[in-house]
Amino acid sequence: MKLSVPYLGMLHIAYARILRNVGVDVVLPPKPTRKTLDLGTRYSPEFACLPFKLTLGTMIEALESGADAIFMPGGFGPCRFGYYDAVQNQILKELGYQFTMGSAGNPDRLSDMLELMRRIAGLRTRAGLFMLFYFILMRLSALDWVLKRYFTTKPREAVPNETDQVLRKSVQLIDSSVSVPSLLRARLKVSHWFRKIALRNDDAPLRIGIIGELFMVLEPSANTGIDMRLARRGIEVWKSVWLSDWLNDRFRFKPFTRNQLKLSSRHAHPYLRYPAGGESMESVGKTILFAKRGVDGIIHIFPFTCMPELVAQTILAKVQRDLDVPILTLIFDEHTAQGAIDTRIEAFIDLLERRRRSRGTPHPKGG
Amino acid sequence: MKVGIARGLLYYRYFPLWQTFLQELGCEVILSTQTTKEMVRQGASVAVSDLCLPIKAYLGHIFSLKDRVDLLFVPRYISIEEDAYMCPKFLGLPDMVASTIDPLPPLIDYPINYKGRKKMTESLFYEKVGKLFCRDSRKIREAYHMGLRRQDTFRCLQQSGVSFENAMELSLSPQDGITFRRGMHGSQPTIGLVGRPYYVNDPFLNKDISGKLMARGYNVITTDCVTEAEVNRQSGKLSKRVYWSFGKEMVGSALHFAEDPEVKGIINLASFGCGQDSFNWEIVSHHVKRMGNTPVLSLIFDEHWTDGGLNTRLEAFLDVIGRKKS
Repeated sequence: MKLSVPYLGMLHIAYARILRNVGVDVVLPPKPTRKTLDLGTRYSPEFACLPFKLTLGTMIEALESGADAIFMPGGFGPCRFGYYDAVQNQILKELGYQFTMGSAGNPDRLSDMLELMRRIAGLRTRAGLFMLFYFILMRLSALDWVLKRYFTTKPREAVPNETDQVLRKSVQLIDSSVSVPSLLRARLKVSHWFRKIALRNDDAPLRIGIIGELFMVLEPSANTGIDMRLARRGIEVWKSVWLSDWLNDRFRFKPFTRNQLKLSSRHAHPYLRYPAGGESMESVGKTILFAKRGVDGIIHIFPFTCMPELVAQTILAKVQRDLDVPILTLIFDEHTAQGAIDTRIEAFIDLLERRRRSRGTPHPKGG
Repeated sequence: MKVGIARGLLYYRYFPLWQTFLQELGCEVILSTQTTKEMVRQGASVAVSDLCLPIKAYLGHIFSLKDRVDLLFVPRYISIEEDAYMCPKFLGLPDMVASTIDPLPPLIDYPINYKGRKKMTESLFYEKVGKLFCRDSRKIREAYHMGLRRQDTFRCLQQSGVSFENAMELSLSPQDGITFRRGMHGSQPTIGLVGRPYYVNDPFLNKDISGKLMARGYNVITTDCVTEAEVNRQSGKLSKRVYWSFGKEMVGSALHFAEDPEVKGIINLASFGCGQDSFNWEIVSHHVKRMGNTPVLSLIFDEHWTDGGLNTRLEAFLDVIGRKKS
């Protein structure tokens, strides 16, 4: 079995080496590009969302490069994501590809995920499966942690590109840690590297919160690498969702991290009282949370025709008025060009800088 | 107490129950008028531009009601059965209404939810709503059962082929001697209309498509006419169950129409940018193609549609059907 999983942020770094070590043949197709998206768009329903089209394109490229099994988590709504596996399976089979589509019965349930790991890895014992699954989760959370540190350190670095080098080194180190003790040692080392980065002592950087649909917020090929570009411009980026936090809400593997959905829904309560699927609750709740913590502006990104985020966008219009926090909404589809996005972001940053100057107040601490 | 109900979205499915229940408890039910151009314009002016047409129209209805009523009935339908959700926009509907329109009378926005730990069944929901108007829980229960009976009559009438308007009228005020506007009788060929109840039955949103079809000599049968058992049987054929209630109805009824030799063509009504229908329709067209080649037409509606565009597409489609027959 040659297994391939569509890209999502740094997920592939978390699982690839581990699964290969237990004998699974993992196929990593080329990173998604414009061509991938065009390929996916050609065979997708017109109003399918961008993540659907992009992952479909990635699947086609994976099948072309020899994969014969694809994993797409699936689920049972209310967001469309849960139905991806069925529709993509149907489209790919119609195109004539021979493969098996693996999906977890209900990806929110641990037993279903373990069953899936059993099918993939062929391990027999439940304890072994449990270890395997949780170790992948731990690696993922280490990777997310590195990226979070990158976003806080990068805008303050004194030597250009030092943080980028540390990021690259850290990801490599975590990737090569294949046991729990070595992963813990790696985290200490990475922490040390980040502390050693020389920082500037001037103004506090602008802070922008990126909120929205999980795939768009995390996958660089979908959001045109908006987070990294902001960081390189010297802006501190906060994100409303992280894959490890999202999984932690379900599988509780980070003992010191709160349930992010519950946290968001507490803050969002006056505005949105029931999660409308997808990341709508996180989008509303985290906007309010970020605003309380002194963010300068919010960028809300989601794919065209995304149902849950449209609910969030409607509600955020009121949040924006009430809390006086500027929100830029960027809706992505296959026609989105990086130039257009950049122009809007530039204008938004100008606005935020002017707002901060005109207030003249020192920046609130925290973060 | 005047309670306002917007003539949009789930009105087209649950109104007999809502009205009976509220009236039995002594409320005066104020229903907004048929959708108008002005309502859609007003709704679209406050809504986020990518929202679908029915939601924009719904906001327009709320606008027309808000100054005339003491309370607005905007229930949060999360799920109406254990294995399916409603559209995400219904999950956030009261919150969307509250954050776009200001000032607003208080909303009755309790959830109906058959999923997860915070279950709120239909009977619990009506008990809670009833408590707002009346302390006597027996009276509330009676009102609820009365409503359920009317609701059942309404759905049974629909499922036996009676048009929406007639079924609504009949279930709310039972009487004899009504002439059915639509029916499955006669030798005219039949077209199956697939869509959500608030599309299929709102002549403003769908540009009176059923009227247009009937004027051209076709019978019309809609998603509402297919029984729940049949929907479940048909959608059970899919590799993965559809976890949206209306999505399941649409897929199930489309497959049912495709099997029925009386149905000469299937027309799908959907909103521009509707997330669910993009998937549902992909599944339906795949299966219908395999099942025997009933011609299908998918019409995507938004607030810029014109009659002319619809007529052209309908006529082309009816030509295809006519050619197949001969």
